[in-house]
Amino acid sequence: MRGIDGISALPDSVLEHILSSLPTKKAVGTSALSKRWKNVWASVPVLEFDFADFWSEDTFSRTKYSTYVNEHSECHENFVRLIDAVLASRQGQQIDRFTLVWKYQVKSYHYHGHPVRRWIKLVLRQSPRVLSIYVKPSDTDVEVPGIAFTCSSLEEMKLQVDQEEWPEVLEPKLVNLPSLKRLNLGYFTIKADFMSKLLLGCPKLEELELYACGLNLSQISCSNLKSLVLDGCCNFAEIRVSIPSLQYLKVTIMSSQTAGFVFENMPLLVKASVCFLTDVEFERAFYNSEAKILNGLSSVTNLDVVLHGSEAAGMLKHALKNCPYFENLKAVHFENFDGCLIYCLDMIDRLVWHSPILEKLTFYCCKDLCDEIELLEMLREVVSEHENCQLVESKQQGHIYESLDELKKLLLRYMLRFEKMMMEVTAAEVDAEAEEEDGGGGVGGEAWWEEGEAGEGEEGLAEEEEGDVEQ
Amino acid sequence: MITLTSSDGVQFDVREAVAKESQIIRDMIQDDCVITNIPLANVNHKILSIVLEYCQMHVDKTEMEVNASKHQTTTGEGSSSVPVALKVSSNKNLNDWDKEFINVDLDTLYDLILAANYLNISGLLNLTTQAAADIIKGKTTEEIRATFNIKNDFTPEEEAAIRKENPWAFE
Repeated sequence: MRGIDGISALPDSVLEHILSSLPTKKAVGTSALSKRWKNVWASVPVLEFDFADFWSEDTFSRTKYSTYVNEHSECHENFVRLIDAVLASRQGQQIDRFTLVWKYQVKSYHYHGHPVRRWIKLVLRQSPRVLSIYVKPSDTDVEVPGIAFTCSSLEEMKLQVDQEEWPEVLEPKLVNLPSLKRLNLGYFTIKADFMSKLLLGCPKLEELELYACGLNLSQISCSNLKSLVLDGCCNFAEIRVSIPSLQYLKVTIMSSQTAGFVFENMPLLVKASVCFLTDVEFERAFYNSEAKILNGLSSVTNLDVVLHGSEAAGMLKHALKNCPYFENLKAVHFENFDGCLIYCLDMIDRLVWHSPILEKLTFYCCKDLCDEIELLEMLREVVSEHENCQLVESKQQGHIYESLDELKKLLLRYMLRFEKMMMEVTAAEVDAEAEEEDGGGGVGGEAWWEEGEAGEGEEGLAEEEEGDVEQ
Repeated sequence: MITLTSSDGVQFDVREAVAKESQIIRDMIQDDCVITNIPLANVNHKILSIVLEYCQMHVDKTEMEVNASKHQTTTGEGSSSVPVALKVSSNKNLNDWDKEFINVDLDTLYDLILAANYLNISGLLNLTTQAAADIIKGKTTEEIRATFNIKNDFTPEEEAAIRKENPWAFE
């Protein structure tokens, strides 16, 4: 090392660029390095806060619960105060990107409104390109302000309000996001009216991701989306998805899902990920939400299939009964967390036969299942009959869910949504009956709620989770 | 083909697509389409060769992707943007390559940052500044000073005052 301070000699714009890749806490920390660095952070147009950086879990394990709550709520107050202060110091400046991750919230904000609502309003006045918020409020709604849907500079927005008690319903009066390209919404209730406003109000939208949302709508159709992710979403009426521009689709089908998705009119679809997940172990003879799932996907070149839980094999079988001809299909990737793949090998065989130009069958499973020799042998047999096709055992790369944990979280979220949605829909039905109307309102579906009792369902999930932990 | 001349007079012949990874060269070519020789006063041959290696790799990868997707979809709409989810697998190798590529000493890193900034190659600028940020990450103020040879020119009182301004940033 030559002892020359090369980094401080870089121009301001470059130093700002470096600091914009750091969380704001770290960027502010550089102000104590030297006079050169003192004010650099103040012009960085990127703000990134994660509550976890301001609170260590060690404190929790060392202190008693009462002290913990006190200290903890002090932490939260400090967190709110410092973000308020930083935002105040940035008044009138451009904020290019604002990221907030705020988990473990204990304090409720009944009286003054949720601080996140205030921050969203403030940031959106400063022409941000990217707004990314994950918050887990304790009991009050964030009440996403209407301005979040009328900001002309936004190109990318992620809004996840992980409210267990009662999910927030998004119903802004107006949606006008002329620059928005990517949108990720999590844990909200989304109704037909909002969906159509959204698809009309975001002419440049290319990627839409809905995570653990309750979908109270019957169709998603537009002509500009390229990527659609419906992960852990809950719906009680069949949803028709018709997006001629779509190139990528990811969808999860839960075993308790009473109504599925129908995909149609997607000639450009290149890659699809379909995840069959077992959430609750109850009778599902009446449901066949997965039966039509593959029909609209026949143009893909890449197909990913995720299976989890004992029902998953049955679901895949069911789906493959209507297996279309995959004329373009080159690669199939199976991701399996509990070895249930073995129960549907006959159907996989069928899939392979329906895919004339298939080249690669990849198989990824949890580490402890990797020596599932029998399964591998059988898969090899399936593949060996096809000249062009080879079997690849994947150890780590390119999987759809990073871990079993991620999957379990998703299932838990889904269960919560499922119960809430059931209550919402039941309430709506009761209202409608009282008014002697025909109970329409996009809810549809027959008497699904008589089948799956929520209480039972939850127990089923809890048991299953315990079982999985031991595996 | 385009000839790029480094500050110390070494000439590099590259394909137009490779040179065009640089916004500044793209602008020059657009303004004057017969231009074939571009002198780069701020980049020496050692750094320029590294920069061009980066551009070459990224152009090759993109072209491969475009060719692959042409096979898949029959559209001629020419919309080059591909959804992130579709890029993931093909980007995996490129990311690994980038990681290996950026494994250089600090002086080279500064020079690459400056070159990427001057030539306006956004991918390379992001990669190099991210690498610098990664070095800062997880280090205390003292450790950052030691790593980069930053001389603390504050008096103890001045430094204490700065820390007091935003105490949360130093916990």
